[in-house]
Amino acid sequence: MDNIVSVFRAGTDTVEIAHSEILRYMQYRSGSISSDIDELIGDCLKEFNTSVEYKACYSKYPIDISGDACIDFGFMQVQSRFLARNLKDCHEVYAFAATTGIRLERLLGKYMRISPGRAFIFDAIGSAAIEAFCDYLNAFLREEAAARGQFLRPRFSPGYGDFPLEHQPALLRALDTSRKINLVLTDSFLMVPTKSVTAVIGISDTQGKCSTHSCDTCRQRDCMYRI
Amino acid sequence: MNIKELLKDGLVYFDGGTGTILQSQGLAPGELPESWNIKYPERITALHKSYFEAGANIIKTNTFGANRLKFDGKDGRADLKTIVTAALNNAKKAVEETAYMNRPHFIALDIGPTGKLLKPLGDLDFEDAIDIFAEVVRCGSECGADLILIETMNDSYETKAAVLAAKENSSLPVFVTTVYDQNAKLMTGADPAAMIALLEGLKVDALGMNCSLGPKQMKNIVPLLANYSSTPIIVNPNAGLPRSENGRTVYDVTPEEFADEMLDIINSGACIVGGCCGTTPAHIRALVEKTAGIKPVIPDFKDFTLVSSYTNAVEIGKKPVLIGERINPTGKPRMKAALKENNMDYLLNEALAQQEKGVHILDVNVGLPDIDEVAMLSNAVSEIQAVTSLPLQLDTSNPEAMEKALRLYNGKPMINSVNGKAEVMEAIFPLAAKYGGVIVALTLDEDGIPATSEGRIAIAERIYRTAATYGIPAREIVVDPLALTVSSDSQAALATLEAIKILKEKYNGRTSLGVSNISFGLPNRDFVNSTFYAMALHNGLSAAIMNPYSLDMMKTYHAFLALSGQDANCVDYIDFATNGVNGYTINVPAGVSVAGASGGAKTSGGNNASGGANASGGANTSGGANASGASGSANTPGGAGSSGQYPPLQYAIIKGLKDNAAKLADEMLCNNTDPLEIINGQIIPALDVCGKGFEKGTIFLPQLLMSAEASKAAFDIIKAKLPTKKNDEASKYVIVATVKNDIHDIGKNIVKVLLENYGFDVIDLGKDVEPELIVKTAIEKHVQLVGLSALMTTTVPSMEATIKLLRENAPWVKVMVGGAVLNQEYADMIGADFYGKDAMESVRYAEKVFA
Repeated sequence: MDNIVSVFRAGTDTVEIAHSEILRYMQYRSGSISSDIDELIGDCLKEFNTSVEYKACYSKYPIDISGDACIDFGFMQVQSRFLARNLKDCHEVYAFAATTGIRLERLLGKYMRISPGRAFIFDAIGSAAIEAFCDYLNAFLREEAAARGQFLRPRFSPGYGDFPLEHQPALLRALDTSRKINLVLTDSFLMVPTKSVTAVIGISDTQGKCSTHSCDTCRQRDCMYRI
Repeated sequence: MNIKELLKDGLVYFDGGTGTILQSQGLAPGELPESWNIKYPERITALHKSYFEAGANIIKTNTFGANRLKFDGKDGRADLKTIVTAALNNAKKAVEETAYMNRPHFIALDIGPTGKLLKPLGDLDFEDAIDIFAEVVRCGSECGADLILIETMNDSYETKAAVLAAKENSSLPVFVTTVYDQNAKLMTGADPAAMIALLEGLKVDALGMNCSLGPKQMKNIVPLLANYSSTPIIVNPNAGLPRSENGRTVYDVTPEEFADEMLDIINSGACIVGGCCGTTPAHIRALVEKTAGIKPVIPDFKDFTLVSSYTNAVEIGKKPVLIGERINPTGKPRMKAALKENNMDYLLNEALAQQEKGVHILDVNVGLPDIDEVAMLSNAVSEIQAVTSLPLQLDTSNPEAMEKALRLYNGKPMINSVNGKAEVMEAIFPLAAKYGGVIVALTLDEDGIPATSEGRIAIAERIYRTAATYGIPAREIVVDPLALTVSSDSQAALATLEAIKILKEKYNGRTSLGVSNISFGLPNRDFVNSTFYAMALHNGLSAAIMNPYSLDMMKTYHAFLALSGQDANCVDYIDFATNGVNGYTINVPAGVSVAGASGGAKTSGGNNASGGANASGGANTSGGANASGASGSANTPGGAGSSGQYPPLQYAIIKGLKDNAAKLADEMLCNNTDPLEIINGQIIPALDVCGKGFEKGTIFLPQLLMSAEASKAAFDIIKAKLPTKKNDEASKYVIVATVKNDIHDIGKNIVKVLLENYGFDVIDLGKDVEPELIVKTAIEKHVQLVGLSALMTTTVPSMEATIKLLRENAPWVKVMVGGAVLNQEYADMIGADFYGKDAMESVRYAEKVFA
């Protein structure tokens, strides 16, 4: 069985964080942004880039979906209608875990203690950055799949829709995240470093017609970050 | 087993990989390798045997991940004791069955990381980590292990917890290997010198590295270990870097290549060698065959005085070391007030401001007669270590506070202090011997401070001797020969200077000095301090406890380095004289500095810069010290230029200019403006502009927060001048907390700073807070309003549980809730009184509750 977990890294020059995404996580809606704040965001971004370490690990697993929306990954069995729909026509998945690293976590902790204003900005940059890194990793995996003539579905994370967070321990263990990228869980299944993502991506022989943004699958209709 | 004895007979060999071999025997992904101790005991024994037969002296038990988090005895899982006992039995069987070889064979109880991160990064409490390891240690040593191997550690803090657990629960030798990356850093940042400082402080028997890298990559790191270590060095590499081939993990380094590379590693100073992931009995056999005749290098004693944090070590005794003295309430009313209010922000800003000035170590003294110093010092140490990686000097005369702080400090700290009094040495030396630490030794005893240098040297000698009886070498002692005020004894400085010189020349001793005492009672004390400092440096002073905001002191420091050949091409001096020096002038017109500058760390410290006279004599109180700097711009507030329709302080707050707001508030105080007038006439109107702007949508949240910080900075300056509140009578207490199981505190912190701005007395209980603690605090302080935050749908049930417990035990309390996943409907469902869509709504609700 193929259970090699590969490690993937990226530099700050390759992960592009869109300014508009940072603003979205800062709950910016409309109106002008003062030059002071703009400058401050720029400063924070610079400091962010000196601390962030983009690291991910991923592996490929065969899956088996039964009629009642139960997906068997080998290392875990998940009951989820949303995920079953997302993985329709797939017989394999990539599972990955991506993080921004301990040094950044320390930086966030520092500003959380001394400056709520900057902490808020760093938090938004962190959210935008980990998503951008996931996009970058996913593009890489998409190419890898394309070379085999296969297609990828959008990534789907524990916590989306009815895919319970309780599967995090099994997923992190399978990917050996603690050793490979120093990503661990709290007792309540939250990840540390906090700016981290785990997800599965369906691999299919056919191009699927699927929503591209995760907000579309989320049941939290009144979320302040919703697009 | 005594490793140093054993090494006299030759190199000592560890076994190789366990997990990778079990995988090749069919261990499934996600299956716990330790479970094979019970499932396939014969395979485990056979593996151990094959390593002994290959020439290993020490095998690692199959217990790497054995702890109670994984083996809890529930749902069909084995319990820890069963696993560890089985593992030891398998190992003992292998020893028995290889007795015919007539070689020294030992069993190492193998302990790996818990797989959790410790607080403050993660959610595992330091003492709980010790407890988890302790259980394994007790079980393993009862079952007959010969030594304890703590391995594959990638966090200095968790390593410390494991070593303490080993030391406190067994008398077996303790070996420790950690994981370095190619840059020779641990995952959490420590370099080899920092790890050696920590581990030798804890008195481990052997130390080194394992896993992650192959022998080729480790080769460059071994000399770094050998350079600092006085302890035998272990190197257990992987068989190269893993790579995938046809769906299998492959380690490339062959047994022969492995042995070749290991030969170099042994020649660089490793004397206990073996393998980790991917290595097999064949690798160990090749290694033993290649190197068996070599006489091992047992490290000699290294005379370095190292203090460390979780990232790096600072050496005392080479380049002069600056120890920042500002975290100390003596003579500092604002620091006193901050400690009394448990206002950690103030301490943290003081820590960062000193770091910015270039100090290498921070002294931490939080002793006040009416506070719980044991709890306060521990808390201060944890919090300061969360914002800076500078090593700390723990400064307390309370042995209990010292022990608790020594225990949970992440690294090897300085201990301030012992002296020649028998009673003090008896209290502190055992702590230093157990936890490690560089001890400041004051040359005074039961008879006071000797007037002559000879008298002080005699005490220093006695302290060295007594320390040695506790196993503490002289390198761990930094003697403070004490400066007495020159205004009462004209020979005072000479005695101190001579003592420094003798200690340096005759004892190769390290010295430290609280410089500013020399000038007590004199005007312009910095003139005297800095000259005295120059003289002391010239006589060989190793470290100074000093005020880094004193320009005179910093001038001396940088100039001395340049003049004494310790600053090649005067690079540091030029930087200081052209750029660094600017941080000390506060005659900058209002409105010049921008919000972005330096994270506002200078708010508290910067104001005292030109005052300087307040070093430690306590003669000056807050405002006075600033007079010279303030006078320049105070009369020209309009000079800000761009402030337009607003007076300068209001403008600074609205624009979120933290440094300026603090400075302007200070200037107004110096101009004798009534503190209440500053609050009501300037700060509150400015806040109003921001709050209303936010509510109307014209001001964006980060802008509101920066303004809040600026107004808080101004308010902190004014606070020390306000009449103190009578008891709890007028207090408007609001508890804020992120609920149990949730670790996101950004939203809670935002609400906190705004509530503080609007005059509420906020009790911040932090994140992941037990409902019981919230209820207890609400009752104790008779709090009227509790604000709860949750970011995850999965943690909203904790919110509900907290509300329920509050209703049962503190029915008068109003509860407001907020967080990304909440809405009005959800808030109603869990029984909250109010749902705050954003931080300002929470403030408005709080105003209503207290109206």
